[in-house]
Amino acid sequence: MKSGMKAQNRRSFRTFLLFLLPAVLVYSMIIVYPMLSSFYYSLTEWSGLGKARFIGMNNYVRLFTDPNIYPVFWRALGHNFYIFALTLIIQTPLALYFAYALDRKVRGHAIYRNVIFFPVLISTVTVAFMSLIVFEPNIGLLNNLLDKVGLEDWVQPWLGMENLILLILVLIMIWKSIGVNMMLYLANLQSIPGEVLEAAMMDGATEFQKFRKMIFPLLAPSFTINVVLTFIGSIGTFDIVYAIAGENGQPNFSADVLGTFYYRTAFTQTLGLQSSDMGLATAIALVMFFIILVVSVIQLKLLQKRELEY
Amino acid sequence: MGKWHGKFMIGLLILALFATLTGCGNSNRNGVSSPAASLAESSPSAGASASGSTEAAGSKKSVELKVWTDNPSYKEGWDAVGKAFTEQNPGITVAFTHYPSDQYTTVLRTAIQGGTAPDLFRTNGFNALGQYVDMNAALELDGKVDTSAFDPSFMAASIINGKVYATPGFSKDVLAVYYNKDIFDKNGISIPKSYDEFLAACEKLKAAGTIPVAYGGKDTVNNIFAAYTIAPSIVTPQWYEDAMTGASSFKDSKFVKAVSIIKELADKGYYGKLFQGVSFDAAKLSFQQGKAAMIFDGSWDNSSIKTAPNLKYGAFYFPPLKAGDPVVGAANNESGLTIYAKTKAEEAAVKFAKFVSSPDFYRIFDAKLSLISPLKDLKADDPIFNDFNSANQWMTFYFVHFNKHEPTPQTYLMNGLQAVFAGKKTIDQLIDDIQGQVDKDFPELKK
Repeated sequence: MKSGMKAQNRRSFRTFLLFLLPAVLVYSMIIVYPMLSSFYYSLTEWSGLGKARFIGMNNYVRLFTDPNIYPVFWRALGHNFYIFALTLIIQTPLALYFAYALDRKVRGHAIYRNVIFFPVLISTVTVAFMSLIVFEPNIGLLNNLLDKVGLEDWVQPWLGMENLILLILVLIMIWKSIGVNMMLYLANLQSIPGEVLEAAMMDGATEFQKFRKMIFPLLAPSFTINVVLTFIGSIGTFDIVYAIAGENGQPNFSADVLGTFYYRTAFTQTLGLQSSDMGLATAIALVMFFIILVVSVIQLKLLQKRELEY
Repeated sequence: MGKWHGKFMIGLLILALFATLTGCGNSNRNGVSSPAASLAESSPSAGASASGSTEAAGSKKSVELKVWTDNPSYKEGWDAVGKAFTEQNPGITVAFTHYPSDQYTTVLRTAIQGGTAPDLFRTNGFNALGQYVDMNAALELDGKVDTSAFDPSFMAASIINGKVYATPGFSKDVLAVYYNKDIFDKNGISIPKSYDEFLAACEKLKAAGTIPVAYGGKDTVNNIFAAYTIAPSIVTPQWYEDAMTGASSFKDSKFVKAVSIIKELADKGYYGKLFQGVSFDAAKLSFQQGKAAMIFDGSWDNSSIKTAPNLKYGAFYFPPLKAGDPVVGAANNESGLTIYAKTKAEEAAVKFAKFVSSPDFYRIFDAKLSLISPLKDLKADDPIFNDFNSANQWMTFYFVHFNKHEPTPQTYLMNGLQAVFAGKKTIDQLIDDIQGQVDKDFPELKK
C-alpha cells in the first residue's frame, strides 16, 4: 500500500516535470543560453563577423589597463553613479511626499494619483522626443516660458550644456518613473495598521512626530526596494540617454554612461566603417552586471538591518 | 515577516538582474536575429526564393537580384532604375531593400557572416569597402565593368589594393554654404570672395537681427559638416595630397587655421547665442524659415531644403583667405554597388553592375533625386547645380581616408569641437588628438 502511494507520487512528480519542461526549455533558450554565451564571448576577440577567437581574460585586462579604454569606462561609470545619487536625492522625498499625501486622502487624490502615475505609461522614446521639444533653445517650451515671464537671462542652450545635461536627464527620468516609486511607498503606507497610529495619537503624538518616529521607520521595506531598483535602473540606463544625447552622450561625452559606451563598442560605425568589438562590449556588460549584483546585495543587507517589525 | 521578506527581496533582485543581463545578451544576439526578421518584413521577395535563385518560367529562366542600400530616401530613384533595367534585360528583376544608414553596416555584416548577403550591396568605399574585400565577400570587377568614363579621383573610393571592387558612386556629393537669396539681397550682401568678406557679411546680418549661420551645435554631425565645408579653400588640395603621403599633417598651420575659423565664427556669435543646444534638424528648419541666412549642408539635403515654401536659396563654396585664390569645393567620393562574391547569379549581377555604371543610370537616378552627376556632360534642371559646380578645384572629404579605427580622427573632431565651444579644450589639444590617432593608425606616414 505504502509503496503504491510512493509510485503514484513519483509518477505525478514526473508528470509535473513534464509540464514544466516546455517553460524550462524556452527559458533556457532565451535566458540561460544568452547569459552563458555572453560570458563566453567576453573571453573572445570578435568583431561580430567571422569566427570568435578565444583570448582568455584579455578583454577584461584591456578594459582596466588600455589607456584608450579605461578612462572612458571610469568616466561612464562615474556618470552612472552620479545619476544614481542625484535620482535618489531628488526622487525619494518627492515620491514619499506624494505617497503620504495620497495616503492621507487629500482632496482630489484619485486625480493626483493618476496624473503622477501617467508618465510611467508613456514610452521612453516618446518622453525623449517631448523633452527635446521642451528643451529646444529657440522654439522650445522652457526658453519661451522664461522669456515670457521676464527671465531672459536664464535662457540657456539646455541640452548642449556639459555641466547640466546629466541633471536634465535625471529630472526627465524622475518625471517619467516617479509614479512607480510613489506606488511602492503608498502600498507600504496602506499596510501600516491603523491601530498603531491611533495608539500614538492617544499618547499625544503630533502629526510630524507620528511621521518621523513611526511611519518613516515602518516604510523601511519600500525604501529598501526603491533604493535597489533605482540603483539597477541607474547603472543599466541607456534608452533615454541614447534618445536625447545620442550614442556618444553629447555634448562631448558629458552624458556618456556604461550603456552608451557598451553600445558604441558593440555597434559603432562611422561612414559605413564598422569597428565593433563584441568581445570587449560583452566584457563591459558583464562588469555592469557584476557591479549591480555586488552593490545591490550590499544595499539589501545594509538596508534590511534597519527594517522594523511591529 | 522579516525572514520571508528578505527572501522575497533577494528573489526580486535576482529576477531584476536576470532581466538586465538578458537585455545585454539579447542586444548581442540582435545582430543575428533581427536582420532576418526585418528582411522578411521589408524585402518583397523574402521567403519566395533564395538569393539569386532561378525559377523556371516556361522555357525562359527568370532571375531576381537582391540589392541592399543604406539610404531609404533614394527609394524612388532605385525603383525607376529597377524598372528601366528590367525593360532592357527581360527575365531579370531587381528587389531592393533600403536600410536606415545607422543599422545598415550591422545588418550587412551579419548577413555576410551568415552567408545570406544580397547579390549586390552598397558601401561607402575606402576602408569601409576594404573590410569586405578582406573578408573575401566582394567580387573583383576589373574587366567586368567599364569605368573609363569616370574621373580617377572619383573612382578612388571603389578601388582597393589597385583593383575595382565597386561600381562608381551614384552621385557627386558636395558640402557647401547654402544661403538665403532674399536675405542677402535685402542686406546688400553678395557672395563673399574672401574670408574677410564672409566675416563682414556675417557682421551685417547679425546687426540686422538675423542669425548669420544656422548651426546645430547639439549634434556632432554639424561639426563635421562645418569642417568639410570651411577647410578646402583654406588648406588647398595640395595639403591633402601631402597629408596622405606624410609630407604634411593635421598639425599644418593651414589646417589649424581652418578649424580655428569654426570656433571664431562661434565666438563672434554668428551661429546665434544658443547654438550649442540646437539640433541639426532645428538648425535646418531655421534656415528654411528664413530665420538664419546660411547653413553648412550637403547637396544630398537639397531635396529636403527645397520643400520649404517661398524659400529662394543658392549655394557657394567657402571662400579662401585671400580673394582671387582658387575656390575649392568639398566633394565626397563614395563607392556604388559591390557584387557579393558568393552570389548564385553572377551573370545577372554583373549585368546590373554594368547598368549602374552607365550614363543611362545617372540620367535616371540623379535626375529623379536632384543629385549631381559625376559624369560631366550630364546637367540637371535645378539652378543650384551651377552653384554646386562653381568650384575651381576639388577636394575630397579629407577625414574619410584616415578613418580606420574608432575613435577615428573624424570622431575626435566631431566631439572635440563641442568641448572647444564650451571652452573645455583648446584648438591645439583637439589637433593633437586628431594627429595622435592618425599617427597610431598610419605609422608609415610618420617620419
